Amino acid sequence: MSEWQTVFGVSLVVLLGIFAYLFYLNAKLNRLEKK
Amino acid sequence: MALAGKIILMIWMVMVLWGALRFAPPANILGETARVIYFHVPVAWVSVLAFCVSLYHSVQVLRNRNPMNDIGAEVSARRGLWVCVLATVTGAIFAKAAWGMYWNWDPRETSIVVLLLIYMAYFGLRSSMTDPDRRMRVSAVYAILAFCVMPFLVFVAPRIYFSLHPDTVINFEGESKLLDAQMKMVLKAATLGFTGIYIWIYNLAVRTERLAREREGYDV
Repeated sequence: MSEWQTVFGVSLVVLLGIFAYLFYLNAKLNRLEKK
Repeated sequence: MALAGKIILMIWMVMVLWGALRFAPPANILGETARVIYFHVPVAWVSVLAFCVSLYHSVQVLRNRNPMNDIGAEVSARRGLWVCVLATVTGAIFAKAAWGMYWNWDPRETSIVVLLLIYMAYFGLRSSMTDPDRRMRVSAVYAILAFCVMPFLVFVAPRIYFSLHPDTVINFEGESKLLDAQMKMVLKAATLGFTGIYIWIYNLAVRTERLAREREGYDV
């Protein structure tokens, strides 16, 4: 794997992972508030 | 967090991504791979911050027995643990690129594994008790003790023994071994951005946990 692929992969996984988790938390909170 | 704050944070993180991939120069010796530090260092910082917040709430639990502080301590320790795992994984990827191995039991790697185990045990302890009041008090004491060990594992132990971990020796500036000015700028911006994301996640997680406990019939 090239250096750029490593850096790009790490940055995407970290940022997308964090934002996916944020959306999941937000959806969970909305579901609990509606109950 | 207000909508404007979320939008600013999103834009900020896009700028950080651009800074990390394009604006900052490649490092001496380590080359383009060193760009991983713009994600690895901030997440490591956020894990320390999360453990600090957990400590604060744990102390408050022992002072006032407020379940909201218990929620704050648990939520922060859990996110701190996950972010610590993320820092370990990004560090291992960097190690593979820089040293040819994902894992070689370097003092930094060993100390972080010990830290992960200590905070995993915190959740083991919590889940072993059913009485909410007892769980709150015992886990608060454990979180305080765990935090006392954390600075030694993160800041002291890796500096006592010879370590391959680069610390600030990424780029050279004259005679002193410091980060390049542009690299410092991106690193500070990334740290600020990840701190903002932590605050966002923390607020959401506390509200979610509070509602979940209320639904389960606990006094919050």
